Formats: sequence, C-alpha cells, structure tokens
Amino acid sequence: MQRDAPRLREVSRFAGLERRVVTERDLVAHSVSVMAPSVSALGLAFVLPDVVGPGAWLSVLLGFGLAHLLAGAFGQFARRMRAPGSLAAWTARGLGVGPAMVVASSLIFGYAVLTAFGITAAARRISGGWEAVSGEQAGPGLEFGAVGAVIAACLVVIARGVRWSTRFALIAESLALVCLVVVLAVTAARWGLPSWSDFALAGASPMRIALGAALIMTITVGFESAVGLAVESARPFATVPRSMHCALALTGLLFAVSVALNSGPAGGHGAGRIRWLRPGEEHSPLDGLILLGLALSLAVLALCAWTALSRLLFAFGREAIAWRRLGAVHPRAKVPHIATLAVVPLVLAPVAITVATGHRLGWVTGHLLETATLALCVAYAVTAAAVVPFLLRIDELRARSVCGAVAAALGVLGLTGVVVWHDAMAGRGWLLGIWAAVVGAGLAWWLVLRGRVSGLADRIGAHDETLRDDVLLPGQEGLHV
Amino acid sequence: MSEPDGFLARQPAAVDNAFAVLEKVAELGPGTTARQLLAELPMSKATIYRIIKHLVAHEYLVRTPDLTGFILGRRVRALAAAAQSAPPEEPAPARGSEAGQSVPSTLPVTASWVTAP
Repeated sequence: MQRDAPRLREVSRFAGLERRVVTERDLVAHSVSVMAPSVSALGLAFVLPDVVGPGAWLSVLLGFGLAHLLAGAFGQFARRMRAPGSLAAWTARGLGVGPAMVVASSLIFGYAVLTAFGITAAARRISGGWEAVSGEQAGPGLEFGAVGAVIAACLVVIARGVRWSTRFALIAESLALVCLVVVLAVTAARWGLPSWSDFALAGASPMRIALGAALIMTITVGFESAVGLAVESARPFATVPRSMHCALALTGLLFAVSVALNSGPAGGHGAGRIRWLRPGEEHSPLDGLILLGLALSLAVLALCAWTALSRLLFAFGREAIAWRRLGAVHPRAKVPHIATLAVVPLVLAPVAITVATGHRLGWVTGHLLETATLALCVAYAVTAAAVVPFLLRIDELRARSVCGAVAAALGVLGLTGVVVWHDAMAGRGWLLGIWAAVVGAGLAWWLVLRGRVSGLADRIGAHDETLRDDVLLPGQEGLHV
Repeated sequence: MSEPDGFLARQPAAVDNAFAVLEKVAELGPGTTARQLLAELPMSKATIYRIIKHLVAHEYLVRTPDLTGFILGRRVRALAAAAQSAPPEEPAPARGSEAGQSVPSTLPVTASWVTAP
C-alpha cells in the first residue's frame, strides 16, 4: 500500500545561491587549502621530531587517524543533509538547540581566527619573501600593506562567485604544493633519506606522542569547512563526505613524508626554518619564491575559511537566529554578500589588537589559533556525539556508525584534554578563559533566542530539503529535467 | 518476507539489488523507510544500507524533508522524462521469436508510476 506523498517545498530555504556548480575536485581543494599542507609540512613537520622525540611518526598516525574518524562521523550527516549551517545544523538535529548554539559560536570564532591567521601569516611570508629576495629588512609598513592587499584580494575573488573562487583555490593550492614538493625533494637529495632505525620507538614517551598528536590537530582543524558549500556542490551526498577524506589523505601523506625526512639526517642538520634551499643565508631569491608560494597558500586558507564563515552566517540569517540581512544573496554573484562583508570586522579585530598592544603582526592570531583549535575540537566532539541520537531519530542506527562516532568523540576529547593540561602547565590559562567565553557566548545566544524567538527548535538545523522538482511522484505530469 | 518478482536473493549482482530497492520504493510510494525496505526485501541490513547510501549519493533516491523516508530522485525522474519524450517506436521482434513477438518492457514500474492518476 502506498503512503501519502510528503509535502515538498517548491523553493529552497537557501534560494539564491548557485546550486550544483562546485565539483568534487574543487571541494577537495577547498578542504586542503584550509589545512594549508605546504605551510605545515614546511613548518610544524620540520620541528615535530624535535618536540616529540622518538615516535613522531606515531603522533602523525594518531592525529590524522583521529581526523579520519571524525570525517567518518561527519559523513553520517553529510550523506543525509545539505546544510550551510554545517556542524551547528547537524548538532541541532542530534542533540538539540543548546549544544547547537555552543557549536555555532565555536565555529564562528574558529573560522574567524583561521581567516585572520591566514591573512596575517600570509602578510608575514610576503614580508619574509621580500627580505629573502632583496636582502633588505622589510618594515612594518610592508606587512600591514600586505594585510590590506590580501583582504582586498579575498573579497575580489569571493565576489566573482563560488565556482570561480573554488577553482582559484584549486589552482593556487596546487602551486603551493609544487613549492612543497620542490623543498622536500631538495631536502632529501641534500641530506639523504632516513633509515629504519630513525623510526625506532626506544625511549619514546607516550605523553609526548599524545602531545604531538594534539599538535597535528592544530593543522587539521577546518578540514570540514567545505560542508558549508554542500548546497552549491554537484551531487553533495557523494562528494562532500569523500572530499573530507581525500583532503585528509593528501595532507596526511605530505605531512608524513616531511616528518619522515626530518626524522632522518635532515633533522639533525637543522634543515628548514625559512631558508630551505640555501640554509643560513640571508639573501636567497629561491627561498624568497618558496616563501611567496607559502604566502599564496595562506591567503587561500584565509579565502576558504572566509567562505565557510560566510555560509555559516548566511545560514543563521536564513534561520532567523541572527540578523536576517545576513541571509541576503547578491543577485548577480549569487554569494551571500552581507555575510561576506560581516566577516571583515572579525578579521580586522586581531590586527587592531596587535597594533594597540605594539606586538609584531601575527602574535595575536598565533595565540588565538590555539584557542580556536580548542574551540573547534570541542565542537567536533559534540558533533560526533550527536551522530548517535540523530541516527536513532531517523531509525538508521547501526553498530558500526555508533562505534566510529563514539571513538571519534572520545579521541578528540582525550587529545583536547592533553592540550588543556599542557596550556595550564605552561601558564597559559588565559587561553582557556577565552575558550570559556566562546562557550558562554553560545549559551547566552541560546538563552536570548529562547525568550524571543518562537519555534526555535524548528529554525536551527535547517537543511536544504528535497524540492518538488527533484523527485518523481505518482501522477506527476510535465516532466522536465 | 516476500520476494519481489524476478528477484533472486542468491544473485550477488549489486545492480539487481539496486533495482530491487528502487522498484520497492516505487511500489511502496514516497516516504518509504529503510525499515520497510528491510522488511520487504530479502537482503541483509548491511546490503540495504549500502545500496541506499549509494542510490542517495547518486540521486536516484532522495530523502523526505524529515530525513526518515525515501522518494525516487531526480535521476529516475530524468529517465522517466526521457522515456516520456522519446518518439514511439515499432516493437522490434525478439531474437529467435516468430510472428513479431515483442520484447517485454524493461521499465514496467516506472511507466505505470508516471502515468498513474
């Protein structure tokens, strides 16, 4: 016996965005860009063997393995929902409004800090590249000018539309990866490959390995940022979950190669540290080019985090849980232009604090990045925990899904605990204070909305529902595809 | 547990399973749930979920707004639209048949689905 046809929308809740235009390749590039593998593989990977000691490769395995577990848990939602509100919408479906608002505030803070970090770090690499090419000291004017240039470039690229901006990210990130491969090849040729004994676990400290895995989390945060583009993606239920795993696999492979090289003779010679091709020389045009490649990668990180944040704010505008104008879409560019512009003050705030406190550019964002990692990791754990009630609610609970989600949530919470303990021991408790403020802001947002907005539970967690034009119904006439 | 016409549970071909799921959704109507498919089809839970996942990923099936049920999706709709707009053809004689016996239609469910009142 046939059931009655469900009521389907004629027009999407998220109407106005350009639908089904972002390809899987572009989605992978977006996710890879937010992780900026060229920057981490030439930065953190060069120092990780020194920080962790024996067993650095285990840290890499643990860190990226955990990120894959998280991607699997997120995939349970991404295969069923297209939601620009990303993790906040998913959490609302599983755990309800309160946890969703905490996740929402954590995502806003996390993506804003990632964007600001990308911009300021790109400006510093541009300045460093100039110094390497010219051999002259760059003044602060160049760095602040570069900040303005990167912000303007991001806005111009975003204004061209999502198809153009994601393709730009793909090309730019590919160029940055070429720089990374060149450096790794030169490092291997100059210092030689590691031997099996370099990977021995004798003298390894489990606590240091866990700390190394927690450091890996700082480079994998944001891997899920492409889920905000699901409405604009072609076949999102296939491409979005796959793009998260592909991006993690690519980034993990490059990072592992870099860690492996630096676990061998290259690490002992102090390879890296800004001059990869001509170590120890101030004037090195080739290293200047590499630095400019890294600046490009960081600028693309900012672009992609900015795009993800704009989709998040756009969703909150459409759900009417934030300023409604955030849900506006530019009729020609088909991007949420008000939400995009709303990010500017969030990005400029760390720069303003830097100027006010007299620190060097990047000091504030560098510290905030640690808190943002903490906030995002807690948001990831909450979202992973939401998988179980969500699947139970739609009657599709399976043991395998439960095990994956629970393992991901517990693993992230465990590594987050290591970070909290490390920060507390290092006398950086104020970072935890900022994180508590972010969580408090989410709870306060919830309490304010609860008193003012009716039907809050129905608003939050909105997804791009199946439209009438997307289905074949009994007795349907005039089929035009 | 009933067995759909012409469907062999022992047959391992994934394509047969996928068509069986599509036909069962067409038969049960919009909003068919995974649990209903489990009850109606002679397949394991893992197989049903794997096929549903694949069909949803490739938009042969879509979810209802509350995410609990399934409806035939835009790619089945595209097949139906193509079949509806195709010019009528003379039925070809079956290979080896006599007296111009026609080949059975391969889309009986879809055809009745589209023309149902």
